[in-house]
Amino acid sequence: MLSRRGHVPTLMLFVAALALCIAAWFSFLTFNGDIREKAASLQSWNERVEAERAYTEFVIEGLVAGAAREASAASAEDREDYETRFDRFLQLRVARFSEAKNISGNALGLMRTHSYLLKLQGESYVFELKGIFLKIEDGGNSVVQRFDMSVSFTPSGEIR
Amino acid sequence: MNIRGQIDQVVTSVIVLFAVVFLMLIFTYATAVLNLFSSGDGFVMHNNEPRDIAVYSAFLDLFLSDRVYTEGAYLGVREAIAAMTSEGNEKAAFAVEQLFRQHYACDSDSFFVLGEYKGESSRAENSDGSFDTVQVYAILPSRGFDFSAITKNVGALTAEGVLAGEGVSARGTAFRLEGNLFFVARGERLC
Repeated sequence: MLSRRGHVPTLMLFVAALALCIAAWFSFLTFNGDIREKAASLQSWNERVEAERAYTEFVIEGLVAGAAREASAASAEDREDYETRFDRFLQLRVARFSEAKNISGNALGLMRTHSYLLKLQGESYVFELKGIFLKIEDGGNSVVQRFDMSVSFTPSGEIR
Repeated sequence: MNIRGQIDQVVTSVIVLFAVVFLMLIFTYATAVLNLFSSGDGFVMHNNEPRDIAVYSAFLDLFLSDRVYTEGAYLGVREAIAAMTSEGNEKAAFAVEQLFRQHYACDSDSFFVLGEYKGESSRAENSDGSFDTVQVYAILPSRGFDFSAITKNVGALTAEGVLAGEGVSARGTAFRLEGNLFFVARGERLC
């Protein structure tokens, strides 16, 4: 009899654990569909960030390709080295683009302040832009994304 | 006696522990199965449309910010388009077309269309058979400038976008409306 009484706290522990399991299960099952709304909102943010990044990357690639193309075309009439010519045309293109369109983040600013690296690797140039950030704001919320980008191209401006 | 009671206690505790873990597993699986059947459509994480449209917009903005060399001087594409629409400057028009063909029209489905609002309206048929009144834009320029290769898939240009395009969805393009001029483009890479 004494020995059986010793099992009572253990059995109570089992009952308590069972009650907790049922409570957790109940909360899982009754968690309402609000999560879908939140998921849709998060998805919308995610799509906006992805779209903004795709836009920025395409613009950077296009500006670099255009500058390379013009630097290559100007080589016969110019005594500057390729890198100097490339920078001159890149600045021109960045200025022209900025006049019509302002992109979020600092990508154009980094190029404007020559904060990029241009190196020759074999027969291709590699243009590296580090520390690009994008900031998407909506009301009091904002999402910041940071990334680096490199564009490999031939001196004639063909993207590789 | 006391030691035996403690051994019993330990054995019972281990059994109870396993029983609780087993019950929790059953509940977890049951919840997963119930959620699987009640999840409905959920949401799609791989909707590429905003990304594609952003790329088309970048493509159009890059083209419009580019420049052409014509009549001994550099001219921005916007200025060249203004010269060709307002003064009928065919050399500027040719330079714009050449620039697009050489460096932007890499894929067969890349295109750039220029329209001008003419202040006219027309009835356009929607895909469901209903009709809308739309503003009509003419594809420019009309004189000696062949945009047919890049406009072949485009039906009517409207303030809402491109209508009735064969193989071109109204949303699968980038649009810009600047004054009376209307630009439509699609392209995914440069060359």
